[in-house]
Amino acid sequence: MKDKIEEILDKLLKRTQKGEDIESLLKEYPQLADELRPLLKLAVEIEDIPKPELDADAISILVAKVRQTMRSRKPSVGFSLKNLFTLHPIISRTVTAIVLVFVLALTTVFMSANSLPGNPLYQIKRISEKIHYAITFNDEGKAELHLIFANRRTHEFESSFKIGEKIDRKLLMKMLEETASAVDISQNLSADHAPLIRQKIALCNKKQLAVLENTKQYACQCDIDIIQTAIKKCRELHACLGCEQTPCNDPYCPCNE
Amino acid sequence: MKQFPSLLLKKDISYEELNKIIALAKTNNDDAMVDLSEYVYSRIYSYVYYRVNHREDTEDLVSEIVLKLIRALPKQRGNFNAWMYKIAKNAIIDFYRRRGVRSETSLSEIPYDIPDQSTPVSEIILTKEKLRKALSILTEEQQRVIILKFIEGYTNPEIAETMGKSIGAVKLLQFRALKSLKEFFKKKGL
Repeated sequence: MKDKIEEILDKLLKRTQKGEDIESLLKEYPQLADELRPLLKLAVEIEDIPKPELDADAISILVAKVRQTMRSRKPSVGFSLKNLFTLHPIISRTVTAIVLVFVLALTTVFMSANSLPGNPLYQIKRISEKIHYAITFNDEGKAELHLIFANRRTHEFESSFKIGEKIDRKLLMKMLEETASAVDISQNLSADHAPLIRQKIALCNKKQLAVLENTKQYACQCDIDIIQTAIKKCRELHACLGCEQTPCNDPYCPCNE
Repeated sequence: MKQFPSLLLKKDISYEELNKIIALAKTNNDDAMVDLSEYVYSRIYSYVYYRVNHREDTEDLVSEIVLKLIRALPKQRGNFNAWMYKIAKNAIIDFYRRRGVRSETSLSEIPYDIPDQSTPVSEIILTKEKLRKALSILTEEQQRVIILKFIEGYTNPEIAETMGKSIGAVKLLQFRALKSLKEFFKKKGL
């Protein structure tokens, strides 16, 4: 394939820089000689022009200015966000990516807080609950978490029934399981912490009973049995919490029957 | 005659040496910063000189570019020379914007002593001043190729890296720039 004229010119320029004679070089390209000759000669002339002289005084003044600029720079103390972006590119990109993922995850978890079963964000909500539980190591915290989850499941059960007028059996089971787990763990707590947790569980249990009784009124006949079973379990739990030791105001309490 | 403060102004330095100086300068090492300033000064001087009409403006602009570069050094990434010429290019654009004039000089404004029409191009004594005026008819990229290649002595791959272009594109710019300059001198009867 024939070389383009700019390629030929560049080749010849390299050779003229090595000291080869322009006229003898052009003999290799007689058909382009007239066009290339003035270009090569012009290039040689430009190369022959002495470089503009640098002014030593101007350089000395500049060096003084540079030193002054250096002195006026405040030393960086501690960590600042600005420093983060002057780190090595790989480090700064990694840190930025981690921060972005963290912010994104937090936003998603926040957005999923009010989601109900069937919503794509609901799985994120459950995963975040599992992670939260996994990183909680003391019994008091675990009991509190079960209680929080029980309250959430109660709210979800009530909301999904209002929307769909159908009982979500899985959710109902989960609601009772969470409360039962809170009770189990509360039994291992010290005398200082147990009463408060059990008081909170009692409140949750009371709320669950009220929701179940309300749901029973509007639920389909086919769901009555499961609701009745759930109510029974709630009442048993209520008894477990030791309300028989005090006068009980709960009309559904087995101690009042 | 005063001696230059550093040998950096006189000798060519390798990429390895330059990278060491840049790395040290980024740690706020005073001597490295001075060395780097001198390096930048010497490298961009011709580039600015051929694109600005007065020597005094060149001095001021080159100093301004060096100080700008020193301040922005912590943010510098990638090819240093490409970054350096980008800052210089932007500073020249700002310079003309401040002055409210275009960088190109009208051909009719160029005062030449018109020589004998029969004088061939090869016999013209090309001076810095004539070249400076002739370069003003070229595009910014063509000017940069001519200055970097024939005045600063960069190789095609170095120019390509500095300009963010392919070597083929640099060769084409070089051909077109020389052709335009030749046409210009021909029109001027030089």
